[in-house]
Amino acid sequence: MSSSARLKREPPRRSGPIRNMGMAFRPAGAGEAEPPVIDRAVATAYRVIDEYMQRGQKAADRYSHSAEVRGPMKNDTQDMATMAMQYWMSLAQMWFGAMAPFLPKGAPGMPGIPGMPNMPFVPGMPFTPDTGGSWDMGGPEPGVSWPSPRTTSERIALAVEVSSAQPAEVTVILHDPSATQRLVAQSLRAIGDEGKPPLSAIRFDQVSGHLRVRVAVPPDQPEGVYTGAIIDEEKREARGTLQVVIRRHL
Amino acid sequence: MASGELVPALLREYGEATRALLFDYLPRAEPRRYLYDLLADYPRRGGRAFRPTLCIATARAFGRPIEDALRTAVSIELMHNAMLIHDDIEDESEQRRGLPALHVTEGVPIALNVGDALSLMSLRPLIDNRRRLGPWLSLRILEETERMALESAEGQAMELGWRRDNATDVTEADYLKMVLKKTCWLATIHPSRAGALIGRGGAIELDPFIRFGFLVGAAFQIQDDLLNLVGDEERYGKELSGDIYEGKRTIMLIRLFEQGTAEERERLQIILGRPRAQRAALDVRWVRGLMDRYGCIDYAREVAHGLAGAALHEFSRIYGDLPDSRDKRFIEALPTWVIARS
Repeated sequence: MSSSARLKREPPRRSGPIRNMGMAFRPAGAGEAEPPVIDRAVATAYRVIDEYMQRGQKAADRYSHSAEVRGPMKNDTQDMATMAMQYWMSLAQMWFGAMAPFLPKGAPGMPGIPGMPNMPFVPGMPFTPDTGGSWDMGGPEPGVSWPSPRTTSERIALAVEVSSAQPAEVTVILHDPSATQRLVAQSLRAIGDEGKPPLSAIRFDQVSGHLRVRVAVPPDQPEGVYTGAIIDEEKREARGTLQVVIRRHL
Repeated sequence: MASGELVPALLREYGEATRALLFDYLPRAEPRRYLYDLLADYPRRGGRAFRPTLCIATARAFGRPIEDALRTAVSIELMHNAMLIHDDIEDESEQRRGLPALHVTEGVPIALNVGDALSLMSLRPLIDNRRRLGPWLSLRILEETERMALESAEGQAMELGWRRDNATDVTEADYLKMVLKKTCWLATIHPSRAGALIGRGGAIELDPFIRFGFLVGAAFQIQDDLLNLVGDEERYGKELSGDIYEGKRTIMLIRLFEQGTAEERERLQIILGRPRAQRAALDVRWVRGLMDRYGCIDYAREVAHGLAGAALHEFSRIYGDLPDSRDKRFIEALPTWVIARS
């Protein structure tokens, strides 16, 4: 055997796996090199969808404001929505009626409904009372003892949107109302019953300087008291707690 | 069951369930000859039932029974058929599902009216949803339907406008924006979002479904455009090269405008500027030949493959944590299926 004629394997054309998803469906015979067509097409597609989503988010912000002042719907679904609204409004009114003796004088009221807090009303969305509410958390009027969780002198406007087929009560306690830029909520766990599914559809966002928390309760969510921490995502610090009480239909 | 068999099997199963209920929503009343009998014409011709199946499969993948999603699926299929009637008129298409288009057999005014009635009929199952899903969720799905219809109309407007004005500067990104609205919202985004709303009782973030639906839907549309050029006419159900006759701005045509010489672009523009009836078979063959010469067909095929791969990536982000099920596997198999179908 000649030492100069030693056989050598050719160096591999690539030294690692192809992890580009665009290559997953490469047509047969397309060669080993990354096809620029696929890369470019996928990049263009993501640019298109990203721009579209951004436009959608801006439109959603505008919509969420206009929804609060929109007039009544002018189609056949109006009756359906109105029936749902009336049910929840009646329920809410009863609840506040029962609570009225405990509320301070001068607590802000819902327009047209004595004793109701001034909460945002979104047509088509079930509406329930909550103790965190959407009123100005800046504190009571002079001479009024208002049980606010606020601990600083800063003011914050908070809107709570709840979608639930069951009566639900939401309490938001923020320890530092000034730090509301990047808030998220942990999944809310049922107190005293680990078997109940957690509530996870909770979102915080900023809408024109207002902090908005949206809570969506699945229709089959068991009744109970669900709690979880509110976290500052940026600083990784707890900022408060969120509690949702779900009750049975009366 | 292998993924290649799963998609046709579920399309058949859920398609039959949808059609069985769909015909209950079509009144048997007068005037039958000019309206009510014609409402059932396109649904009776079959079709893949891709849209209603995706809606049902999504709801089921999230754990809900088929009955919860069936009325929404019927509504989607009715709306789809209504839009097909109008599309065929706007595109001057001659065939639909292997038979003459409705406006060819009944005339444009009657076909238009049938399309209008069918789109109205699509609302009733959504209203009936309230009995099973409750008023709030039913209203949410109705709002979603409204958005889908508006997005589809905007996409159709973009494409019709390009053809009317004989636009020659349409880019690939413009095309994808148009497809996002015109095709994806009805074909994939809305069925996925409505199915997810039903599956999670409304408590779900819907934005990720736009990404997934867009990528699958765009791959679907490009494959559809390819089949129009290279498919089997009998299986495809429409005339081959019909899109060139109609002057549709497909990704192959956009590529041809990019790759052709100045003289070829000029001739192409003249051909596309003529009314459909004046586009000769010779012209269409010339365009088709150029597409082959410049590799436009292969190019479009590669784009579709890329989008399907990206769709799989988005699938894992949305559905990855769900337990294994036939419906989840169906959705996972869709990106492959849309580019493999012939």
